[in-house]
Amino acid sequence: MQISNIALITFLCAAGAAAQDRVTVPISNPSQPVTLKVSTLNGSIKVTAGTGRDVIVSTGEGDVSRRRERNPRDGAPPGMARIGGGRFGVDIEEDHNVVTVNSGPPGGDGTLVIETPANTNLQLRTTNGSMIEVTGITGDHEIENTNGSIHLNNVSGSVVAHTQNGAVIVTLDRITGTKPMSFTSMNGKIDVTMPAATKARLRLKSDNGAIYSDFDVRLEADASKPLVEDNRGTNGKYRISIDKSVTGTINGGGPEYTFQTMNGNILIHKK
Amino acid sequence: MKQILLVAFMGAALAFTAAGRDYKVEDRSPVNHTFSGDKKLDVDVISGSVEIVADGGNSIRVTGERVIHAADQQNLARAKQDDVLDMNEKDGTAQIYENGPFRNNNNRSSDYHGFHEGSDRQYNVDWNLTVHVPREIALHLRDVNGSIRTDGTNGAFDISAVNGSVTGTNIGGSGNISTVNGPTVVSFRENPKSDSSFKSVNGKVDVTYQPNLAAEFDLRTVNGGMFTDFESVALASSGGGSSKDGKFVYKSHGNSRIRVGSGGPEIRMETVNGSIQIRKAK
Repeated sequence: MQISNIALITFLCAAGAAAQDRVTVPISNPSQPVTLKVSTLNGSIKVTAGTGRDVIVSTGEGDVSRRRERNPRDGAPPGMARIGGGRFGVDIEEDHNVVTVNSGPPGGDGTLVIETPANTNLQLRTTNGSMIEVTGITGDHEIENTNGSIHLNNVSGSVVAHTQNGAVIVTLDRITGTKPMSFTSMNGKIDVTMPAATKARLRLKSDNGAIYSDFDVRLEADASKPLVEDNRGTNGKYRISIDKSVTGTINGGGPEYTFQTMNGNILIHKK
Repeated sequence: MKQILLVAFMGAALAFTAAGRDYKVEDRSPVNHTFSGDKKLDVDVISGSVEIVADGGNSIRVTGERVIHAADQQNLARAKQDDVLDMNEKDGTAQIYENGPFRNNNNRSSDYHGFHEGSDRQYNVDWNLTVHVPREIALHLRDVNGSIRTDGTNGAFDISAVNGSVTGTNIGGSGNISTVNGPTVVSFRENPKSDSSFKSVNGKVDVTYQPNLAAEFDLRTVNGGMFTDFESVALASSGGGSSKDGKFVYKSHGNSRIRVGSGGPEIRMETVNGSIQIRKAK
């Protein structure tokens, strides 16, 4: 790490109500892919492909509307204006091309906006963020939201995306490698667009929704066997569970891609 | 920081102990003392309220009362012997110091109160003091269980409480005010000319400045809003990245910064549970 690189840290000062901290994180080896790990408790995450060789992290003001929802008595007193929205703290570390960004608690209900080189492996996680949004990044992506949606626009590589409460909407420009992929939600639709030539074995399951696709999905015969748990010798329970997933192949089959939601439709589009 | 937390914990423990006792005996006795010629007032009490009133005089006049609640006459007598108010003058400083077996250090300039009393104590002593002071006197005030009020002073201030509010009315000067459990509420007759801070942990921080205010604010609350009726400009956070063990490390603590007027001394306002208000005097 060159000390001179530290000078690249810039703080942009914006006049007006919303100042934004902008941190330029120098990458140890710009010729190699970056791994970006982001974890926040109450904030949204937005990642886009930048044109430079560094990772740029912007921490804006907090989401005032969400704070007011949580604490409606916390409005401005008569004649006074709110200062900011509770800016959140953030810790950033770069070590051998792995950039780790952690924010909150405390505070931390704003949006982390990050520019990163186009070849970046993403590991993004938020708990109460309204959205994780990624655009134009190539790599192996692991995306997790608990109470919010996931939008991956024009990404390439492989994707594992999961949320508890929200939609999973993904557009894959290119699929590289033969890694299995997973797109799952508990309460929300799954909407995935893949290249027309994608070869995969699809595992599909929606408990309370329909499944649609314009791919020619060759359904496999239901070869699944009931799963039997025989605990009569210990606690007297005997349990039979049947996997309700539907499996099928596209373009002759390939790595397994899982599409699963409890409440919502599953849509698989051909690009 | 460890010392502050220790004092907070011990202070809370003392308050709990006192409140939990069934005291049957009460004794009230007046306090009167006069200092002259001192430029600084140093008050350090464990329990009781402290009120500072600036006037046109040249002397420091202490009035008030000691209030003892005890389980019986024997403990009352023990309280009178144990818990005393030392009044001294040293190097132009008037010192008022609650002393007793609960202190285990002789370093009176330290913030460490050093409680080490046994559980057999069955009394509680409050020193409720009103101190009239010259307007320009510098203040160094400490109170663990009780509120602190200042009115009309114009000198530098360094004031901290633990379980109680801190209120400054119609004051001038610069310095630091903090409490742990209670609000920090201050109104300035003349705005601070040097860096200052106003803090609480569980309470609001509410400071009123004169309309000609020119300062930069560093603000932070975890659970609460931040408000002002001054025109202000938002600034980027302070802090920066560094190289540590070959890694790039950047830490931001989530403070908000604003400039009022043309900027000037840095004023920190901070709480954990409470709002922050920067008011313009009417």
